Amino acid sequence: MNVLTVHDLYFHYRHSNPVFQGLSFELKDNERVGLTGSNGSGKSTLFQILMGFRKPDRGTINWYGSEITTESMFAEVRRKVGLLFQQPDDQLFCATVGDEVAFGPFNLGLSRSEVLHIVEETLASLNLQGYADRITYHLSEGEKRLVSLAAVLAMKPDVLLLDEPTNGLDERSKELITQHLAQLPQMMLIASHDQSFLEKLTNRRIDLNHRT
Amino acid sequence: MRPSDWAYPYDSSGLLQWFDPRTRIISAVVLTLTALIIEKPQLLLALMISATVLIVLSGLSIRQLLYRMSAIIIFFVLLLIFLPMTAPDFTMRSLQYTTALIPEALRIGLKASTVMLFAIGLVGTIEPVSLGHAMTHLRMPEKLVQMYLFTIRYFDIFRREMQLLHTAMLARGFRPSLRICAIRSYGQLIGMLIIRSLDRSERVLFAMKCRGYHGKFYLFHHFHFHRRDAVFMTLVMCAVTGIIILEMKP
Amino acid sequence: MHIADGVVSMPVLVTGTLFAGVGVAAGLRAITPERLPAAALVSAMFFVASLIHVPIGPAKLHLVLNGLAGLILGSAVFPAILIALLLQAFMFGYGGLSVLGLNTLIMALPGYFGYVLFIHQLRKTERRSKALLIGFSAGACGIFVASLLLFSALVLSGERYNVLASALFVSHLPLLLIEALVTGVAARFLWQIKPEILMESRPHETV
Repeated sequence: MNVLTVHDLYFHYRHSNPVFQGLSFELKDNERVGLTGSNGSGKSTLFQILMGFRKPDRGTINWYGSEITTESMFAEVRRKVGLLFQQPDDQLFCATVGDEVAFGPFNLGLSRSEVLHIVEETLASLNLQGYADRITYHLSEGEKRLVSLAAVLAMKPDVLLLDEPTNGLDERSKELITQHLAQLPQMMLIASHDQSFLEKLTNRRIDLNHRT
Repeated sequence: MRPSDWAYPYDSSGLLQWFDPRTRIISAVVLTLTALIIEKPQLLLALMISATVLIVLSGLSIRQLLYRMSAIIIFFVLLLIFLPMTAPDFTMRSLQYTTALIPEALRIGLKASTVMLFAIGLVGTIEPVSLGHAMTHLRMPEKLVQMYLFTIRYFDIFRREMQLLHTAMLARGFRPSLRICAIRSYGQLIGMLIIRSLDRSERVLFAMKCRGYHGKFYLFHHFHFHRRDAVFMTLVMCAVTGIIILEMKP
Repeated sequence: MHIADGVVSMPVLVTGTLFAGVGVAAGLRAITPERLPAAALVSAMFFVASLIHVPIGPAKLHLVLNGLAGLILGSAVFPAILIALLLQAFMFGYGGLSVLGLNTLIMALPGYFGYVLFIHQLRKTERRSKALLIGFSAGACGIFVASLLLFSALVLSGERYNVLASALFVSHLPLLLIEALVTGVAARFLWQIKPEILMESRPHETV
């Protein structure tokens, strides 16, 4: 069964050239797929469309077998699909790590004690014990990336959309995040320039340059 | 402004750090109001001395203190220059400096610096994020607190963006000045910064929606009100009551 | 542009604080959950941009940018300026706790005035030079009305401040010119590059 099916997608930004012209692909159950493509080939835009933040000009998006069209349907999708942003500074809008990781679970309607438990558990799973009271803007780039991942994982998603997860990281942080990602059970769609990174994590690759 | 000013001594060993931020905010408000209504110079002086004691307890260094007091010192100088000019026996022709209103200027300066010292010592040494959390617990409007928290979250990032653009301008021969072409560059720099902040706010909204944002914020952090906070509050209240009684006495 | 604590009389202080409270409440009401990140980030950016120093002879001048902030934020300029003042109070000692409200009113109200007076013209205009002129007027209005409010707050507080108030008023006139020019250029820039920003329904807020 396909978890995600994108069919015949067209999209362009106002006053600019088309980004997608008839893009189609799918993500099957338990698959990990890499998305490659040059700068400006629309990887981030694609993720924003998949999460319902931008409306395509044409084409359909199917999540879990049903076509998603309205904002409330997308809101449902966002509970099950986690998006890791390219820039941690866009994703981490809270002042402390604890608030950040707790934001999602609180919005899912969990109780305070459940949220506390999830925050501790998620931070521990990424070796970030004791980070809950740390202040976001004092973290290093590598730490910010891990906290972003923690914030996404705290929602317990089935699918992860990862937008350039190793971008701007030094070798050590890159290795660290690769290890953590490799251990995760989720299906993944990973946008990256880094071929060796994609080889380690994914079983199939889609090149956006040749699909549009 | 230098980064060191932003990262000032929240984690200092100052004794005031022992107290709950809420205790410090409420005390600062009460003491400020007291200083405002007090007119007797001796009592103002007493308040000023207690404010100074609090500053010492807060662990601020002299340099940090002077930096924060510089605006008020300039203001005080202005008062000393301009207040006497409104004295009845002052005439522009004689330009004779009269001392009639000097005590008045001194009293105002004393008041201003007392209130400022309370604010700097008690509230200014609260770590900015804790200040935001404390404001929520003190029932400040949620949206206001969130705007405040966003501001401190993105302050450094925006400042870096501004410096990068500014450096890029300098690299292309821009010289800060008041010439028309320089003013134009400033205007464009600011316009560019606004566009960037709006673009970023769009992505931040996406990130919030990804995690189920529907208009509500939850704060993870909790404070604990200790016995020492109660003691501190009682002390402040006693002092304030005493001063007000003394003020009312003829 | 800042009034220090303990200077103005109680009636002036209380009235100013009350009006500022009304402005802040109205501004916060106008910010929907969808608009909150935009309002918050833009006001944070204004706080950063107001730290830009313009050299004026040997001295340095802070930009205030309340006119421009008003054009972009509308009534949200009230909470935006309150937060900026709160941070400035603790970072640089510009005023203590008691004058936060009054200072917010002095700076935010002129920005909001500029918004009410000029935003429709800026949206409608089709000429670059006119966009510049409208921005210039909004920037000038921001500083002029703020200086006027500062002047009134001092004069209403007692005769003894008459000379000081006039001196402060006059000393703001050079700032008025610089602010008006910078605001004019910035408004023209936004009008040209990203006019959506100035529109009522902004695209990024209707996602």
